[in-house]
Amino acid sequence: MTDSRGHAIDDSLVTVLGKVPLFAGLSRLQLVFLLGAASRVVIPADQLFFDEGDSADSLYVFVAGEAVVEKRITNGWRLLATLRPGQTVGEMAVVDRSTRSARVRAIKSCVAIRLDSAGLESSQEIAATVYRNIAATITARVRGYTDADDRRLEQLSLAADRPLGGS
Amino acid sequence: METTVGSPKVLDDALIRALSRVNLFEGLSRTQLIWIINATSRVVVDTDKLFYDSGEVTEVLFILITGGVAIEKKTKNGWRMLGETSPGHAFAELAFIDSRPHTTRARAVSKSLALSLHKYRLSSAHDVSMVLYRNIAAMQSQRLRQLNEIS
Repeated sequence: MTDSRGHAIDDSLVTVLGKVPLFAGLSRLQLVFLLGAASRVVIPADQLFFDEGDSADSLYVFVAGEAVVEKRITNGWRLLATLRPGQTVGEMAVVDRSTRSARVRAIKSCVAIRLDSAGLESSQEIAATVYRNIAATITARVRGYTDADDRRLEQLSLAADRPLGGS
Repeated sequence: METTVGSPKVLDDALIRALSRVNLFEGLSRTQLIWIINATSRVVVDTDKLFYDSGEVTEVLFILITGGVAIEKKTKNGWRMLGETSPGHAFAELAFIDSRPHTTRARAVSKSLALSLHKYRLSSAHDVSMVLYRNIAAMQSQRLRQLNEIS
């Protein structure tokens, strides 16, 4: 199988992407196109995918290995999550293009697919589906807060000095 | 809620200018904004009437043009206002994205005019939906980052 540029595509990678919630709704052909717009990265154990504070414009899909998400605290780093094959990280950065709020460090040698917004938007149809999925993922997390404690939303409304959009 | 019959046929320059200032439409061209206007319905809601009630499923994004809308959540002591939407802002974007029932209600605090965009209309315009979904995701992302900081 080849991508739109005639490069060989690993069929197993297409299968991995097909199981990722962010890419739900994409056809196999669209996943092949997406892989053609992405790059494959290998990060050795104990090296960083990216550091806290780095400028950001890409998401990663883990294919092999294990990595941890860590946030700086006063006396070191706090573990936020462990990432395994099939999981993604950095999707918020693709849409809001802000700096990384945490670092991601490989604890075993890792292989991942890196996708930036330019590559994603090379097909508007694919990008619309992926952005909708990213919006749904983030919305679910926002709802998690409101379900747990809707007073936080009131605080946010005051902090952001803008009206909440509502449900 | 009173919905005008069909889509607005007369393109109002002031309306296009108003939509160009809506943060969710940032990045859309004039042609794409005209597409939005033609894909939406105009909705007029009288003071104290509802755009939607808690528990309803609407899959509609509202863009407020004139008036004011209070977003309220039911508590054991009655309705608590979470925020007020002013002209130029969109509301109901969470339910628009995930199609779940509203957890709040949207009440007009004065007679209000809004455009309503149904989700299904976007499937025919990938260029518009790409920008709109990206902007909604970015807005939710900012909200989540703030919630993470507060917690």
